[in-house]
Amino acid sequence: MEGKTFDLIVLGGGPGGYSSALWAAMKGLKVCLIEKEKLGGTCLNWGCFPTKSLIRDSQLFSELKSSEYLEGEIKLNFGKVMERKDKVVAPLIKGIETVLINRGVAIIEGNGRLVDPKNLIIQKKDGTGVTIKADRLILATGAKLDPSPFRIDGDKILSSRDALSLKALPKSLAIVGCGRRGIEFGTIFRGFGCDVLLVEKGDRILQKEDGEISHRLRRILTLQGIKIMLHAEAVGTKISEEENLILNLETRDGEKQIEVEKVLIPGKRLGDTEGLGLEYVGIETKDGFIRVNTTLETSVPGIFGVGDVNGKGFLAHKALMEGIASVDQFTGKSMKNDLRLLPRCTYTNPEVGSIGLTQREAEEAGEEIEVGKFPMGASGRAATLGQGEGILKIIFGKKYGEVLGVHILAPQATELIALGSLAMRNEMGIEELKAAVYAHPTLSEAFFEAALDVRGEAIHFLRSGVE
Amino acid sequence: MARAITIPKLGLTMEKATIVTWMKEEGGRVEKGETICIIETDKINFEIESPEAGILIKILAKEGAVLPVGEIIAVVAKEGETFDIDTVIKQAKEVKAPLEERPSEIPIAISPSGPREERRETKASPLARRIAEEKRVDLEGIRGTGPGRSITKEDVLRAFEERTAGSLQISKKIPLKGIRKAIAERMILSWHTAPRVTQVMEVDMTEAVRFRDEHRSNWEAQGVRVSLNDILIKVMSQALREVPEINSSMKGDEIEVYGNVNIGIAVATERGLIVPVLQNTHRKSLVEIARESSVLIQRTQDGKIGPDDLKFGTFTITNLGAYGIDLFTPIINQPESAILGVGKLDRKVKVIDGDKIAIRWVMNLCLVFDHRVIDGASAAQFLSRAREILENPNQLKELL
Repeated sequence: MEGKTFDLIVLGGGPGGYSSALWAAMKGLKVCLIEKEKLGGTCLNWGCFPTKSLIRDSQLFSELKSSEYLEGEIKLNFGKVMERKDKVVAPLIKGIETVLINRGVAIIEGNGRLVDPKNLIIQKKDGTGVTIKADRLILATGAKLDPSPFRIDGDKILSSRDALSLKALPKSLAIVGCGRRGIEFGTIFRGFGCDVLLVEKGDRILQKEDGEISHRLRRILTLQGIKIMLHAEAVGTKISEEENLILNLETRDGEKQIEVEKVLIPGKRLGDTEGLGLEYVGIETKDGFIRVNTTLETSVPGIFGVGDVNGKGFLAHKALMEGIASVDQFTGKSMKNDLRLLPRCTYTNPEVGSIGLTQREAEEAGEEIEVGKFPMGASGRAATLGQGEGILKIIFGKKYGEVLGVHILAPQATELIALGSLAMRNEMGIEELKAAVYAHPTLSEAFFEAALDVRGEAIHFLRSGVE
Repeated sequence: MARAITIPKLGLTMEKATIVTWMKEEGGRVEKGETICIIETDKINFEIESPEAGILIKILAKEGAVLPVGEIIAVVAKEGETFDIDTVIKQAKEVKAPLEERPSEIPIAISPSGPREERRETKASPLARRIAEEKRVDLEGIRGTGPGRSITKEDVLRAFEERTAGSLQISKKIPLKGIRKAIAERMILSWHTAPRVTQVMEVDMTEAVRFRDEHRSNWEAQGVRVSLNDILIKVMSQALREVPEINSSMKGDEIEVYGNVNIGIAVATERGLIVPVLQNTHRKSLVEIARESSVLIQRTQDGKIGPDDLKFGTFTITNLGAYGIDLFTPIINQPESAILGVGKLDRKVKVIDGDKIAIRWVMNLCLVFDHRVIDGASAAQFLSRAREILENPNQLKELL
């Protein structure tokens, strides 16, 4: 492969990288994909998929365990649970590899380094090196953990990766930060019976979500036995004289020390650009991320930054769509997807799914709005699932009735939000939501009811029923 | 079955059309898709085609007629078909609404855009349609950038902006009434009455500033803040007494020269320009002028003055120095004969004492006067006298 020339080289085999490679190959380009670790990236190996597998088992276990009418003893085999997770992911990764190969993408395992804007040296896993060349380059190298001020030791202080390869369930676990990942891990470990403490320095969990959703979810998580400390900043750890791990917190009531078996740091993210040689070709970075313009091009023409590495959000579906959009750019098509409209999903129980503006963001943007709500307590389908907690809330523009934001706390909210995404991308509003027929009984009827609620005309509940 | 042909709705905003010409005669044969009539709307011609082959049984509209959308203009029937024409028209009228749902009943070709083309349905998002309707933007011809090239909100707004670019966008309409109307009328009156001349004189204000600063604490002890404007009122009052033809009005065939000096002070208020009058300033001390003017200005800004406060002015001072204006030519406040525009007080390099360069406080006095009443020499004499007082420490002291 010495000196081989391609139309496109993609660095990184996560969702951003493999989607760009596949899309470009389908458009007839000669593509080479370089992956330094495992195809599938964080999403398949250490993020979305492993956690979703664990969440399912954790929920199944806790539901069976706490059931008032299913009898018999339920025992957790943590090792098997972890095994299943790996079994789920392995064929998915294999699947991606198969598709890539069948579409004609050359895959090289190794580290890529830029020599100039068109030439790379690849240090292959077997120790050999090759140089390759392409007119275009997509950097999709993802993000890495910034655990500061903590030091991950893989034993007591864990990264997400460590938490996903635990051999035994810890008795107690403190998680620093109540963002999406922190809360999902909390849900997983609590479901298996672990004592979970969530520590958040801000005034609420899931700060990016609508205030009403985060307050309701906090109450639900607390009822599930997760301890949540707000206004508490984790500043460090130490080992006590009895050889126990102590987490130091600064709270509004002064310093606090919590004894805990393990601490998990989902952490901040930084662009994973080490060793890429960005400085040799003059690719600008900012705060550890590659700077890109609205068309995802870096400061060097012909080189694009896709996915986590551009710092514009850490969502696999964002990376996926950006991969397609960046290829569309240089194959002469304008971006088809509106990447401002990204659904946000948190796989708690019940789940959170949202898109667009929160009520507060809409108000602060000076939008005149109307809000339609439907509490899951009024949903017959939610009742049959035994999950009446939660709400669906839609923010509409007052003048034209268009959907500005959808916020769901409900079973399967991460699926339901697709309706919101579809409505927003196609600029639909109250009338369109009301005009469709929703199967009964389903959770999706909440969209119909919330649209009706704007005029106080919901079928299955009275407005006073909404807090 | 016999078919009624109506004026189609070709755009969101289309309400009516004009019959330009009939291509077929009543009773003539028509083929399916053949043009039978040309109509015009918004300066564009459209061809109306026959919905089926047969006979053009009846023409119901004359050429040149302007008809609303949905109006029946003709009836076409198959050859040999028997029917009652009134029933056909009656039935057509009953199904007239809703029009939007059946525009395709009659195939339309747009001319002069060339060959007959199937009219493509405009694809637009629901929000784009709502905005287009409200802003009266025709969706046709807008390039869609949304999914499947559908027209989005942004596309409509862009088209709206392009349409309105190069024209006036009225953000609000203010009825001409009250003070605004009074100002307008008085300005027109003045402009068309007085042939005016402007004289500008630069004044070295260094001594006047020093005079004010030296006495400030003394005045403050009396509870008054004396501004440069107050000093100007006092100086102008004195100069007006000495050059009385400036302090006058033309009334019919006569010029009235006044014995007392009543100075109007131009005050910008939220409601507009108002000029309250400080009476008999020639008799008042500087401190009295300062005290009364500050009360008068405050009342004016608060909207608490009455008609009496606006009467009997003999001369007006307007000061735009605070806005950074160097010089300007105000309009005479009729029936007065002159107005003084005061410019910005600024530090400038000046030649003084023959050949020395110094940094001095400098200001422009702009006198606009009615040449019917006042001659240039008198006006210059008046300004010179005012400058003399302002630049002379001894004469300033006499103002006290």
